[in-house]
Amino acid sequence: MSLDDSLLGQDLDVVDKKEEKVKVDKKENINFQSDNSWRLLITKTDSYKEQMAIDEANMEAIASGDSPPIVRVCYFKKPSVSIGFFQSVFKEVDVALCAKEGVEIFRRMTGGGAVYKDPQREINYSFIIPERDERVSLNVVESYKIICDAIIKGLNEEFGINAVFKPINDIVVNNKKISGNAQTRREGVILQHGTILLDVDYDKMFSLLKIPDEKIKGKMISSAKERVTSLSRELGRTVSFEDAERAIIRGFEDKFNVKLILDKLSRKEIERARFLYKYKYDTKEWNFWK
Amino acid sequence: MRYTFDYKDERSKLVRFDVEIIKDKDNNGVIKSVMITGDFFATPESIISLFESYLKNKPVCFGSKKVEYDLAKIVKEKNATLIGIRPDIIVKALAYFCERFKKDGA
Repeated sequence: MSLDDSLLGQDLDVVDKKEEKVKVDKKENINFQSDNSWRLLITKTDSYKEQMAIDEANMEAIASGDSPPIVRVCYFKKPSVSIGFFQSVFKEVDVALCAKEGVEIFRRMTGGGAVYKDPQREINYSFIIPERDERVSLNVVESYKIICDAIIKGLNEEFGINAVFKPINDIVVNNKKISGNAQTRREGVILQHGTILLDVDYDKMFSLLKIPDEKIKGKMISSAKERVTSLSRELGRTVSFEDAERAIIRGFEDKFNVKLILDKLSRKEIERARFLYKYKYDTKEWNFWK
Repeated sequence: MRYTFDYKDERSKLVRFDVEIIKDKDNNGVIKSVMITGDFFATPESIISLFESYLKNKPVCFGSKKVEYDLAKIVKEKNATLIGIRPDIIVKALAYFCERFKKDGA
C-alpha cells in the first residue's frame, strides 16, 4: 500500500464530508470546549513514518488552539526500526540488512533508543496535551509518571496484571518491560508516544540492530527474555488489538477523568501531516541526519 | 585524528562521541568536529547542537571545570531538561580524547 492508499492519502472531499458530520455530531452531542472531553483518534497507516507526521500535525493543532488534548491509537503495516532523535542510524542499525528485508528505518522526534517495530505484535499510542494543563506536569520526569499511569491503569484494569511504572519512562510487569515511552515538548505542547507489547519476537528484536560484538548477540537475546515481556506472555493467551485498544482508552479516561470522543483527523491536520511526511519524515535528510 | 568514546553509567543512557582532532600551529589538539549521539533525552532538542557548537574549535585538553561550568550555564540559559546525559559525561569524554591525543600524536 502506498501513501496514496493510506490514511494520509484519502480523498479530502471525503474528509470534508466527515468533518461536516463531526461538526454536526459535536453540535448535538459533544462539547470539546469542556475540559473533560478529549479527542480519540484511531489512525491506520501503511508506514509508521506517517504516524510521526500525524503526531507533529496533532501537536500543531493543539498549539494553535484548534484541538483539545488527543489520545491516538496508532496502527501501521510495515515492519520498521525506529531510532531516537539523537541516535546515529549507522551506529545503531544494520542499514543494509534492513534494506534487504524491506524494513523501514525512521527517526522519531523523541529521544530514547532504537527499537524494532512489529505491526503484528504491538500497539502504539500517542498522547498530546498542552504543557500548561494542570493534569500533567511541567516537570518532564513527573509527567512521564503521570501519563504512564494512564497506560498502567488500563492494562491492570483490563487484563488484571500488575503493571507498574519504572522511572524514567518504562512500564514493567514482574520487573520486565512491557511498554516503552518517549516524550518531547514543542511550542508548549507535550507529545508522549509509546508502545505496548502484545507479543515479542526476541530474535527479530535484535537481528536488525547493531550489537558491537556478534558473540554477545545470543546473550542479549536470552537477557532480553529476562528483561522484556508481553501481554501474551503474562496472560498465557493471545491478546487482540481490540482488547489492547480498549485498555488504552479506559486507562486515559479513568486516569484523567475525561471522556474520549471518537473523532477524525481534520482536513488541516491531514494536509499538514502529508506535508510533514513528504518533506520531513520520509526524507533521508531527517532519518539519516546523524 | 578521529576518535570515538562510548559512556554509560547507572544514571546515564548510552552517550556516544565522535570527534575529529587536528593540530594547531603549536601542535596542540583542537576539536575540529564533534558529534554527540545516544539514547538520551533532551528538551529542547537544540541543546545538544549547542553543546557540539561550544566544543568545536576548543582545545581538546581544555580545563574540565571550565567546560562543566560553561555547559551547565548553557543548560540553565536554555532552561533545558537533560535525561541520561550530563555535562560531566562530556567532560569525561574530553579527558579521554585529551589522553588519546597526547598518546597518539602530540
